[in-house]
Amino acid sequence: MGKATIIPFGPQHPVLPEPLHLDLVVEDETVIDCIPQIGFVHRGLEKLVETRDYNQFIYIAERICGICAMGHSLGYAETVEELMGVEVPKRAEYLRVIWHELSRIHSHLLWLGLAADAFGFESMFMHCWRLRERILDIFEKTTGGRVILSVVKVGGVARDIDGAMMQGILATLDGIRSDYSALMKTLLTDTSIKNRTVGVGTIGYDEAVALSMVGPFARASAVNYDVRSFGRGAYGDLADFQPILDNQGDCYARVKVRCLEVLQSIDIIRELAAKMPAGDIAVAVKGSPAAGAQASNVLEQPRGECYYYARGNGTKHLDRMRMRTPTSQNLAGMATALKGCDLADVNMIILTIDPCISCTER
Amino acid sequence: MGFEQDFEPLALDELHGFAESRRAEGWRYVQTLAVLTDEGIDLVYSFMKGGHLANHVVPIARDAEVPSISDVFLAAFVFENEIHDLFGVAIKGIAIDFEGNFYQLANEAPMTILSPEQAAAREKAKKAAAVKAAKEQGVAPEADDMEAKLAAMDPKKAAKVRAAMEAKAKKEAAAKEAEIEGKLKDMDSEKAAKVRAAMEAKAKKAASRAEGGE
Amino acid sequence: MGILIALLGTVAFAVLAPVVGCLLAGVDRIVSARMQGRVGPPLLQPYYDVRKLFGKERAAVNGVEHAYVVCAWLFACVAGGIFFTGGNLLLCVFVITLSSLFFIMAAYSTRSPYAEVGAARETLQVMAYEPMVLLLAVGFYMAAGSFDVGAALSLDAPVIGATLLVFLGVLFILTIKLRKSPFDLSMSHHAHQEIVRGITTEMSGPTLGLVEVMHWCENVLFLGWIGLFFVWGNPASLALAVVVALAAYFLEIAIDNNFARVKWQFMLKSAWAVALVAGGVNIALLAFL
Repeated sequence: MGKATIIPFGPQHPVLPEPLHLDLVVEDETVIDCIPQIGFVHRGLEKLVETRDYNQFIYIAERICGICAMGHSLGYAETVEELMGVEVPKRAEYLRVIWHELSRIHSHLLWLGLAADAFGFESMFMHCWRLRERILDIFEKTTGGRVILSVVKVGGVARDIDGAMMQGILATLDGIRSDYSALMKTLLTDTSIKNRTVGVGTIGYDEAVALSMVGPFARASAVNYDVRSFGRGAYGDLADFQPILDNQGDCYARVKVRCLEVLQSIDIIRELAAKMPAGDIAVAVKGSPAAGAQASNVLEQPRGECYYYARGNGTKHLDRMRMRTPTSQNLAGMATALKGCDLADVNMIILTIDPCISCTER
Repeated sequence: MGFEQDFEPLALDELHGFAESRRAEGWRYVQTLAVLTDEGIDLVYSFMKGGHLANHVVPIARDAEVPSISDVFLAAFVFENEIHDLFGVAIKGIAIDFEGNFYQLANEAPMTILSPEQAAAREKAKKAAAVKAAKEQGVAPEADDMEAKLAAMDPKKAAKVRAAMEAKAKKEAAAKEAEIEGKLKDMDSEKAAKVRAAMEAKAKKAASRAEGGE
Repeated sequence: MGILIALLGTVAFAVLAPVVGCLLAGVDRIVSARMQGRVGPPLLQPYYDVRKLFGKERAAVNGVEHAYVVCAWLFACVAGGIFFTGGNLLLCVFVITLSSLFFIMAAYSTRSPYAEVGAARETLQVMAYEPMVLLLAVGFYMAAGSFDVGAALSLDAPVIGATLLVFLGVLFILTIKLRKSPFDLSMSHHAHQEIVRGITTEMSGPTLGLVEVMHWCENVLFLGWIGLFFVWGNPASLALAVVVALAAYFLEIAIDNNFARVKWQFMLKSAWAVALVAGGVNIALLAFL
């Protein structure tokens, strides 16, 4: 039989979007064991609550990760508002959700490009990222930043989107939708892609529940959980929201779920733009969180459910701020999926949980 | 589906059994986190079912041993390793145990190291709470006025004020000394020596009295 | 006499083929970029890259790696020299295979995990295309009556008429030989592959530059094989052969941009199936008709 070699995968590797180390024990191109190791980007950001007060910390929160920046600033602001009992105006809630859904679209397009690149289809990678540029242009027009938006603050949002700009955004999204549909058709029907993704890294429903998986990774295994279905904030005003599920549980299903979520986000933005109420975009927040007060919050980020926790101590500095990101929840699922796969499938399976290691390690 | 959250206390010895009962009833495991408190460490375990997010706060001492729930919920191993590395909590039986090498840290248990700012903030909060409680009871605060004011200030500013006060005191003492020296110079030398000896004895007595008093 | 001509041909090939191969590589990159909606690099970019590589410091893991690559390049030039001076096609096939074996040895000599996996995949690639290449030589012999490439110039009609299936089979494995998706398993020109740079992971500087030059020479040789099917007594047929070769190259670029990479099992099975069906049927027809 073949002898076992150990292939060190990462932390520097062209196919990994973020540093992660795996020692793959390989026998004739089949992975028989996998020992993961993270900790290369741990920056100790949660400890910075001690030196930044609750208004300043939002800038730290959004710099935890470049792709999920909007999500983290939104989740943090919502948690502190819950802690201090602040009621955010309706218009601000709508704007926040619109930016968050745009962030979801850009994150999924980024991921689709990386996935295509991982199985050797470089021209798909270029096309996906070219579409993503249009979303980044929208961000720049509305907030001034392409990646780190800095538009959410505790109490509301910092900038408004007026009617004309909103119409421009909707027109851009229509253009993206038609180009994206052609791209999606190729991604989902191309035989060489199917050859690389169908039946790879399958995780069944029971295993997905036992491993507490979240996000599109879990929804592809038919786990019906999406924080947006709780109907909080502007999501409550949507006519109908159904999480996108698939019951195959393999890499192809995960690609499909993310592809369809992009279209769903475009629809959500369209619906909310039509219903946008007029009003203030922020309320003034005075005072500090009470000593010993606690609050938690969940948010559906592009990668799954993100949990936030805050505790006050009576001063302007929070006592503790904690973000539990979806990737840390999904690491157990990834380790399970990697056992027994082919070496050529390793990067596909790693990418398929949409790993955001910077978020995980903070 | 609505969403609601609550915080409930939970005892450490009930933790593992509680996790098992949650799994049996179909609750989803959300996360585990740790918070540093004055008395020790609070562990917060969260579970979700339907739209109900239940957070359970488990207060423990810093050197307590905590059973791992990664045999019930495998996904917990990430958080338990992290809590072990960052807070120094001993968790027994983690499914995939990195034994302190999950994050390569420069310091042991960095989240338990209180920075001066945080320590000052906690002191301030405690004092403010004490003042508030005292006021509510109708008793006048006994603390020294200057000390209370200093405690209420930002620590850097407090340090500056203290330094300024000490400098002022030193200056006054130096000025007094200079005055006495001036007087002594004018006096006759024998008398001056007697006065100096008396002053030294007085100073020694004051010092021993202060020492005896401490 | 034959050996002297072959030697002169080798030297000429070693000088001219890199030039042609460099231009071909430049055209490849520009066309691929346009297909992806980008502008692409300047035409001479491959030349600038190789010149930069030759100017770098030597940082090899061991001394024997460069020696193996030099041997690989030398034998590629010999194969090209034999082919383009009208020599024996079968000998040409064996010499180019020897060259690829030296390339595999160069990767194995570094003992790096990625290079070893890449070399293993390269060996599988050689195993996949070798049957078809041998059937190419046999098919040519049966259609032209001689193993000598020069015999094509005295034919009345190009051999494509009698060896169409063999030609299609060679087009199929040309994708593997030119290292294009879906068959770029051992070494992809685009970096994002799970075994980093595969067979060339441990090669850098002048060694990597020489590998690039060797691939240019190989590409010219393989396109020569494609063109061989369209050569006969008429001197204008050489122009036709060049046009067909370029058309085949363009087809390979289009395939590269429209397919994901496959795993080695699929490559081996499909290449052998094609060799068996296309090559076998064609040769059987030539033998019994």
